[in-house]
Amino acid sequence: MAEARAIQSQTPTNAGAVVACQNLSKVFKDFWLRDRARAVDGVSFEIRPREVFGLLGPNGSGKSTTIKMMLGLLRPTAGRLVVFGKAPSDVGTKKRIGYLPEESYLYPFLNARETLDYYGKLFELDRRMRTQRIDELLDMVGLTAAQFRPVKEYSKGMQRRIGLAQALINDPDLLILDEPTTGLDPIGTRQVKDLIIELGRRGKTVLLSSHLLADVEDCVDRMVILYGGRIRAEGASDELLTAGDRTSIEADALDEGTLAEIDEVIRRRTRGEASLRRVSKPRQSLESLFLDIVEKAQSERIQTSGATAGGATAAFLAASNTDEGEALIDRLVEATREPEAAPSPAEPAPAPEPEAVLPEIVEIDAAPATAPPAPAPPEDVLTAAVEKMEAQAVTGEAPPSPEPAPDPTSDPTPPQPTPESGDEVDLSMIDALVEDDDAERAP
Amino acid sequence: MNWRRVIARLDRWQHARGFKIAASALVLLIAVIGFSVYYLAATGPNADGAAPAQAAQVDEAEGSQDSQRVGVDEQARRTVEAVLRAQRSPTEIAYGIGIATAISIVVIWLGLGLTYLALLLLAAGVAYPLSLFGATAVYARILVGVVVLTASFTALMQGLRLALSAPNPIFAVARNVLAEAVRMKISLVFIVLLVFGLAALPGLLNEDTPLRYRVQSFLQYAAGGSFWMIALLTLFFGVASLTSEQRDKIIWQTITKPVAPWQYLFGKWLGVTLLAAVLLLVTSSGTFLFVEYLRSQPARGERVAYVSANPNVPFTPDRLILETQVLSARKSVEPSPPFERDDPDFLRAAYQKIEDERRTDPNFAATRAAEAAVIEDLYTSSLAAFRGVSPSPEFAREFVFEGLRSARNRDRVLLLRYQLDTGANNPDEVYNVTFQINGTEPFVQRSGLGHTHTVELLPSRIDENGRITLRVFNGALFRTNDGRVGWQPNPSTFTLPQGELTISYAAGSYQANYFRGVLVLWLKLAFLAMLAIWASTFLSFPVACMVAVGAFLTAESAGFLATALDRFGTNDFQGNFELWRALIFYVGSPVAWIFQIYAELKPITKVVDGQLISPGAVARGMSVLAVWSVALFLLGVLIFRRREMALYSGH
Repeated sequence: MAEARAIQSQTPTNAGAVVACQNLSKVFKDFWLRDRARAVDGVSFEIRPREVFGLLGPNGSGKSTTIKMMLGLLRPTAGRLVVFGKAPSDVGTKKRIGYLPEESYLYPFLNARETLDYYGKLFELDRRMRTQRIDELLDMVGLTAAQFRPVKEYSKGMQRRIGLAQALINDPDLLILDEPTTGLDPIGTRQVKDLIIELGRRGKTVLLSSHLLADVEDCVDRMVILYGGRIRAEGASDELLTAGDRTSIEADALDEGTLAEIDEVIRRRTRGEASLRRVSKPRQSLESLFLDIVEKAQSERIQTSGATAGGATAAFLAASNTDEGEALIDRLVEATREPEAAPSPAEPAPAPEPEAVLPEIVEIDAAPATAPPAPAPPEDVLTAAVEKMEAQAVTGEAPPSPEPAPDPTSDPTPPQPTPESGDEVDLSMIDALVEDDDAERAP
Repeated sequence: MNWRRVIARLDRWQHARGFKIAASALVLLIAVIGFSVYYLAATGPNADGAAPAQAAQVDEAEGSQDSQRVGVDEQARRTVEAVLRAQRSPTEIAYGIGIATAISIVVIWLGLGLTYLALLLLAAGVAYPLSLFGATAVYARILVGVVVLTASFTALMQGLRLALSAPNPIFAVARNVLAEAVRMKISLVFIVLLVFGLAALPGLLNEDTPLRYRVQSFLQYAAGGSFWMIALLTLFFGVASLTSEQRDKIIWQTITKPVAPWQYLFGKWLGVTLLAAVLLLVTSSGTFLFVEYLRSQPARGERVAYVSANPNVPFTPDRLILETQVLSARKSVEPSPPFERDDPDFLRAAYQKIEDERRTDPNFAATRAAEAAVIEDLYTSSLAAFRGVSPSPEFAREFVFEGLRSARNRDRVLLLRYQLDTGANNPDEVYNVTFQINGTEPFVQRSGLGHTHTVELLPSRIDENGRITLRVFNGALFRTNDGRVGWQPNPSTFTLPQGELTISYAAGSYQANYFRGVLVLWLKLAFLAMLAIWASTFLSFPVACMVAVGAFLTAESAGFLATALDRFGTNDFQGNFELWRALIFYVGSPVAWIFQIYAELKPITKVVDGQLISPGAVARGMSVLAVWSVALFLLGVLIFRRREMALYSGH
């Protein structure tokens, strides 16, 4: 399936796309105008409104070059590229874009507040609005206490934070983040990921470029994977990442007897073809451990000259208690009405209670024999779940999806907030099964 | 209560609106009381009666237009009186008090009122004890100078920051440039050097030299030094500001915002130009005020400074020259050429000369261009020959100065400036040169060679047509005791070089002339800022610096370059064409032409020499520099738009 996805996308340009690339190429030339490197080679994709889009690939795969072409920092050698329907060099379009480069290129002689004030003026924000947004953004990125220090004294992580804040000063419709978590501590990384998810929920379009797959996995709705300047895979995040031949179950601590019963159920239902393969105690992730330690230190008011824990998402972005926020809420309400087929991105489907899961699974027994086998036969559910759990425990990665590629022009899948820990068992598959079951039993 | 808390409270206080209103009212009240006291003292019944009485006499004399009755000395005294009286007039004093009041109120509303008051009191508290001792007095002056200049600079910068605080991309970029200027080393070094240099300069003046020389030296070094320092700062900082942003990729963050290339470049230029303007304003104001201070000091031969028209106070030549020649705005007139280029007689003679040459060399001046060049050479050498005066009374030269009608109407002392050049110019030799004006009684001047000499002339020497005819004899023409005319020739022929024989007259005030000079300097700096910005749009820091500084030095020396090229030509001394000479000539000529107007604007030289910088010359210079600046700007924008910013490394 992965091979099937490893094709160059030839998606026709959608007029409503925020960003549309068609056969985009960039060739760097030497002094004598001879081709030196083909950084981007015939790339075509679209970023649709209100989606979090991932641009993945190893170093040198053409991610940053593609972004720079979107921003007018580079000119394409060939192909077509439009942002909000206009050329990237269009000055008016840039009012709607926020950009965080791969490194935070900041004026070393300005402090954080002056930096944000400068960029706010470039967007012609009036003084009142600038002051309000700067306060909220500084609070959000945890730099309120360090706001009057020159940014040249900042650590790299603090510079990334102020870089992120400047990218949000104009409340952008399109936020382009190039390796946003580089240099950030786990808290900052978590906050950035949360922010991206939050912005996605609020209807912003986000382009996230990274080679840190864990960052992208948690946030994006759709993604393309680049290698050698060409698209190697493209699709919705769930479609690319979901392993249909495994099932994971997480439960409270179980004794040996219960596990034996479960194993027996599995063997009975699969006629001995599947069994409980691996049982282990969930291991706390390093990220969770780190976050716990820092939160504890902060609760004990231990002093730090660096960035503090960031506050809530800036009000003007989160749309609360301000006229601006009210307007944004209105827009968001309008926006959430549009994709009728999808559940509201602002309200993720609640995970079913663990206690309720097994009875539901058992009830699947009562399903009619004519139930369609795809995507996975009910008999294979627990086997698949266990295999997936085992695969995650061993490699930490999900096996490739057996699902066919969706039509990229179809409506985007709404973003699904992820569980806090990557080691926790994904219950969404069980939810899907329950939904499938419900559908099958419907008259 | 600790000091930090007190200072914090005072700082909050000086930022409070109530304090600002009260302090402004207080300053206004002091200004009004001060002016009223001065006005009453100057015009009241108990005021010194000598000055008004003398002034009335002078007015009467001016009104009579009968200049023949007044001697040169009296005429000069009247000129000085008029200058000094204008300085002490209530209007001038009101202007001065008004400016000081305005500055004080601006400082108060910038929230710096108490800070500056404390700073000045502190400086005065330290400087006063230092000034009591001869060995440390110089340090007191430097301290006061540094404090005043720094305070002025910071207040102006603060004011500019406020003025540029509107949410506009151009203003934002310009304001950022100003912040960069005071926080980055490259510009801060220049600024500190400038402030300390200017503050220390008065200490280098020799108090034994005549006052006019001290004033001229200070003007020359302060204005010239400041301009060159600010010019280099403008070039280096302008280049650094743009190239460092490209090298460090900081520019990515700006140009991915809604900022057009022209806005970004214009903002950069505006910031650099305003910085130059602030520095120029501070240094030129400091220079002006110190010159006024020097002016109030005793001239050579004066026990106290000559400030009033009291006949009992001796009137010295040093004071006269200072007030009429140095702190003046004189318009100079050169003698009209004896004939023009298109004079039929001259052309006939020139073609005859060419024909004569062709008899021996048929290829001589074969083309029309070569023919024109020969005629131009003949004309130039004819003029040079005309300025040569042989040591014989029959070979006296007659020079006609025209266009002096306004000088006659102004009734001011004229100044004849001349220089004798014998080639060797032996410093031990002194020549007698005789002048005869409009056929009147000749007079003899003993003159050293190679130096500029001056002679005061009465405006009544100008005839009805605004003309003076001057005959120059190479020797002493004198009348013997028995009434006969005697003649004593000099040993050799001398010439009066081009530009070294002029008659000048005061055509404006020194203050207005100084202001125009500063304006011209700022125009030059604005052009240099654009030059630096343009070079930075496509070059890295070192190369852009080289190009910008090279262009600056070329522009400053364009006058010399043009003169040198005139004599350089494309042929060697034997008349043979040489490729490398032609290359130099054809590259250098357009460069000299491009910067011709720039080079002709010599504001510092003119201010130091007391020469008029006419409004017309300022307007002409402004037009040319504006055209060049706009052309560079458009070129820079074009380059910038075509650049791929992510490709540039600058390393």
